[in-house]
Amino acid sequence: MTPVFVDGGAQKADPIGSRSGKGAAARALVPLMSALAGVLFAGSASAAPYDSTYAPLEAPAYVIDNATLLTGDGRRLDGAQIVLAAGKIVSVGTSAVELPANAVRIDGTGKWITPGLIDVHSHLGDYPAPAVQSTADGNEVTSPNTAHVWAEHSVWPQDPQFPLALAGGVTTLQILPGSANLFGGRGVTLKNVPSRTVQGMKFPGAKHALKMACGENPKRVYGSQGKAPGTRMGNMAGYRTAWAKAKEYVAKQDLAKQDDSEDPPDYNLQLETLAGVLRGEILVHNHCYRADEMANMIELAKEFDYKITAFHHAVESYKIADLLAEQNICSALWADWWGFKLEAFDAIEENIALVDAAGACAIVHSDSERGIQRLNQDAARAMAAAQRMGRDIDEAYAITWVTRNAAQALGIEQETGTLEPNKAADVVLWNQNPFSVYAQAEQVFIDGYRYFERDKRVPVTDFELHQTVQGGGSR
Amino acid sequence: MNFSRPLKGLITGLVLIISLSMASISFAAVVAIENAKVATLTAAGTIESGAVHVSDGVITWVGLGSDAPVLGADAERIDAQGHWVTPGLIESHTQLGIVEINAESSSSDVRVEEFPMGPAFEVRYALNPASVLLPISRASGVTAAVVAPAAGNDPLAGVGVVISLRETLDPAEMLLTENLALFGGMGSRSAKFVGGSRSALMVRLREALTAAKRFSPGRYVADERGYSASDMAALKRWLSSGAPLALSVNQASHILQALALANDFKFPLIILSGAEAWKVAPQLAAAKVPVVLDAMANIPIDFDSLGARLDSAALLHKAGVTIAFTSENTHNAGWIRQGGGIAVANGLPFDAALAAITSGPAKIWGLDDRGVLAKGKVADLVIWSSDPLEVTTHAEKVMIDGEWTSLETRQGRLLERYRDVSNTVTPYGYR
Repeated sequence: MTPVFVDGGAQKADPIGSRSGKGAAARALVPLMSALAGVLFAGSASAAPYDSTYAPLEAPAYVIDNATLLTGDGRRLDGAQIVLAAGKIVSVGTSAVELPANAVRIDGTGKWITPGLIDVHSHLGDYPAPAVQSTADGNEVTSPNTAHVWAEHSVWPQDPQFPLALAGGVTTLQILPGSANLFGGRGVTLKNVPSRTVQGMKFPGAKHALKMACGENPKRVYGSQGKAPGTRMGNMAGYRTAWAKAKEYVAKQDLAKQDDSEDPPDYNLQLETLAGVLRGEILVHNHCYRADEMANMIELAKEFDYKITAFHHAVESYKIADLLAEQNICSALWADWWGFKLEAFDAIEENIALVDAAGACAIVHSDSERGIQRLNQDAARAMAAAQRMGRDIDEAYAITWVTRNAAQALGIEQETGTLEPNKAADVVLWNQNPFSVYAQAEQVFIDGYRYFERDKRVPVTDFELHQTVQGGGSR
Repeated sequence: MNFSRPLKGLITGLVLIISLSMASISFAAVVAIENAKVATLTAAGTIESGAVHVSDGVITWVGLGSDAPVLGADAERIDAQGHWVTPGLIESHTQLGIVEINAESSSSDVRVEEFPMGPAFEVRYALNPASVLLPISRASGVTAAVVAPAAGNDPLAGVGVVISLRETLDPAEMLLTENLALFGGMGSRSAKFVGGSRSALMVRLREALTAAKRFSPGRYVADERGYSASDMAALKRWLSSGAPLALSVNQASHILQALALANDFKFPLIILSGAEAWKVAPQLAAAKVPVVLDAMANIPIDFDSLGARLDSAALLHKAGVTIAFTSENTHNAGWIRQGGGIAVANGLPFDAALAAITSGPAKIWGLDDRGVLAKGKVADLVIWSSDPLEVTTHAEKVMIDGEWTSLETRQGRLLERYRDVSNTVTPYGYR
């Protein structure tokens, strides 16, 4: 079913002109934009609107010898080799039977290799730097339910923070809307590559997220305006009302599919997002700090029969680690950030360790333009806290919190997140053990293309051109 | 070095017995930390197989373990097992003791929101020694901290202090320096207060300082946008005290304006934040103006900070500027160690990074008896599990004023309660 108002709708609508009186200029831009789009997307005519236009860049094969590999699935291989070719990992740990012709050889002696790091919670591009009024595009603070907005439509690909994250070894990141609303909108998974358009960054095939938020933020934002929700019970009522409508919407759509005499419901962007969740096409990423509220959200998911993929910032996950394990819900966590608000008061350094020990999926996330540059160090802190409480785990184990487990929560674990043959060559070469504060990513590969070479070749955004400091790695 | 709980109890008990029995005698027992890698932060450098002796709250001897004076039988001897010992960390910019939860205004005394007050604001009146943040910071190795008013609307935010993180319930006992410095900022927020322009802000500051010099309470009439008599009195007090102005300023050109202001009105200046301070490092070095910076701040977060970079600390140090690190995160004050490590990864010598969280801040804030491990200095020190700048390292033992402090925290209690959620023997709520 193609919604009529999307198809060709962009040319008819003229929201800029109708509001600002600059209609003529805006109208003149439209053909230009269309022409540009035609050039950019030539050869992808069959793609649906907003689809990814990302394609891996051509690159030589790379052979890195004699490095320490943390494979992202719990193994550590010393003195090992990894071969990348045609965008994929060809072999790991053992010498390939036949090395690709003209492969670039890299001496990995003393160096460590991990999968590209994955941040499941970022606002790069939708809260870019400089963080000024005109760039604050992360929170549609106009209604408690903005399930119809898509974070990707706010993403500014020229955000100078993208190359900084790349310098920290981040190859994939999920950009989410903010947490002011009960339903913030759709999140998007991006490859951390320089691009003129967000479509050129979108991770092909990755599902959208639905960002939901518990607790203080929605009730504060709307309660202070005298609107619902003004309490935590108001939050719950808001979710339930929306899910009930979505259920009805899906039922009508299903009925119309089976029975030609039944009309489908009017196309509704907001309900499309919720319906996507109910159909399993969109993954729920739920900002939720407190254990009791997470338990309420689990009941909510039971009531409306949807799956919660991950709780984010869940500083109290350790209090219900057993429940989270049983429900197969991931927790995306900080190592030790706490106290900035009351629902973050009970954060403990052992949160990740305890969640993980209970058999639940633990992820280290950032939600921070600073944290995303050093996810490895947050994982290191969480590992150290686990060891202090007596857990016998090491780097090979802890790296899964920023690689494989994160990939699972984004539904891209078949493509990336571990060093295995035939997976995407998303690889970081570190100058030493990445669990050291002194470690730096030296080279970062995405689909086999070397996007980052410290001090030699780093991406520079448009914004940074001719500024005094530019680019990840030199900044 | 991990002491089991009963052993810890035993040691504490013994210390208690010893100190009680010594109470009537004029000298206290020596605490000797032996077999340690001692970072003295003095010309003596870092001493492998070193020892530190402490008595009566003061360091009595530091050096090679083999050269140590003979200990009495009553000495408390701690085998550091080769681990690092450093001076206690000094956090150079926090709101410790004046905020519990940032987002709960009722638990925060860091700034005035609508009430007009500038230089007269004094954080010492709000210090809460029972804050749960204090034990948490202490457990991360922070033994002293600058407590500053947060940037408010007024470019001059008020007077800050230095506190010791010693265990006390008396706010007065926390204070190491009362009238430490006047804090202020030249950011866009404070510029907004004077109409949205740094051009106006500098005029206001210069006018206020000029007026403060000849301020007399009886004759003063505040104009609509001017300072109250209490603000003017505070400004006058500060100007005549010789205490520094600690100014949060990022753009290089604004830093030069601040230098000119300090030169014209003859007060010592400390640059806070200083995203672009590296650009004017020679001028800062020449004027002997130190910089307190967050070593992790490399985001061009606003138009004042487009030159932010991770090697700022290295560049400033190389130019001869005295630096100190801040985490700019009161709840996670211990993050200054990570900042130090990151600065090292970006070119700062290791010893300089360690200095920037110990002796550097002591020098900048005038804490002459702290920040180094040397004879006669106050015994604030930490035994670390490993390299003190590593993120995987933790504080094993923390001494303040010569006393081992408790490393128990509220977070530790939460861990114990939830360590085993399957525990059905002790009902929930009683663990």
